[in-house]
Amino acid sequence: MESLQVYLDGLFKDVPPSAAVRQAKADLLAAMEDHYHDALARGLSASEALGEVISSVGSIDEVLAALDVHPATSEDAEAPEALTAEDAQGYWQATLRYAAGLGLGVALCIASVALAVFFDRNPDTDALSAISFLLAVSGGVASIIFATTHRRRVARGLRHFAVTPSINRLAARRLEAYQRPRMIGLVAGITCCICSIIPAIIIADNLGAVLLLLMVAIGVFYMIYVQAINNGYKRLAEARPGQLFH
Amino acid sequence: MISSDSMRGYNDAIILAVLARGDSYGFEISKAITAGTNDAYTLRETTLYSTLTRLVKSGALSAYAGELSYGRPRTYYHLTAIGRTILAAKKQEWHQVQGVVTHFLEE
Repeated sequence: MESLQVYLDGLFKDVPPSAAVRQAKADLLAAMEDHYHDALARGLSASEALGEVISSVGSIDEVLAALDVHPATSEDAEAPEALTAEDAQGYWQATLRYAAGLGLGVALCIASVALAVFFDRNPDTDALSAISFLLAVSGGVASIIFATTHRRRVARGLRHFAVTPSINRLAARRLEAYQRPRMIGLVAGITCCICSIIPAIIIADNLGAVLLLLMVAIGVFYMIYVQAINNGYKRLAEARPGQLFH
Repeated sequence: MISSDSMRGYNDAIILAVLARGDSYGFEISKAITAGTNDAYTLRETTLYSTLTRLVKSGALSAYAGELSYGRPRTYYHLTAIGRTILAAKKQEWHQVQGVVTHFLEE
């Protein structure tokens, strides 16, 4: 009976394996199987029989007490090391680089179109248009990959450390202090994006579109940059104390 | 259905008494108890197993691998001489307990 075996394995999952525990599991499984077949013979359906067996199993604590076995408890497990202010500082430093790399990467991808359009205006620079487009796109993608990988590496190194109340407070203070720069960044970014329409209206030429795209790229950079830094502070400010960093 | 709390002190004696009739294995012992009490008392599997384990450790029972059950050897239990002595003492104790409880509860 696989279901009974799975149920029993679940009950014993925190119990260190030993010959006595293996014997106890085998004997309990045998008794449960006998009980199951007896219930079937009494006319119960398979699921009713399973329900009857499981409800009559009882607690394995008494079995473990009889065997003198003590399951591994969370208190017995080694407590995780606490995250220090330096660790948090290192993480925020990595977040800063991540914010710049990600913002630059996305901005470059947008600007690549502007470059293509700019060089496309002159038939002599057609090749330059394609080359500049490809270079900007690959530079943008590389920047995004580099930024993401770097931050992930730093975060992975801290994954076994627990967040403490003092780190929570430090992060909350940083988060609060960052709200003003964040607001300025967001307003600047949004303004840049809205104003990008102006050169497109004033300059009828393709140059208008080029300027529009460049302004959007700058606006997007600002928005991503401040938001990513903000999220770095928020992640530690909102993590529950005792919880592992993730 | 009798609560397991009321029966706690007598699980050992009941199991020893079942095994005094002959060697048996887990579920058969449990079934004998349920049938012998007209379904009034059922031992949980873990309670039965832990009691059997304690009785084997104390020497009241011996365990051996018996016939195959669904492809696995069943563990059979045998009442030893020590087990018989414990059972006799438990019987005597029970008569005294019964007398005391009856005296107060059936007045």
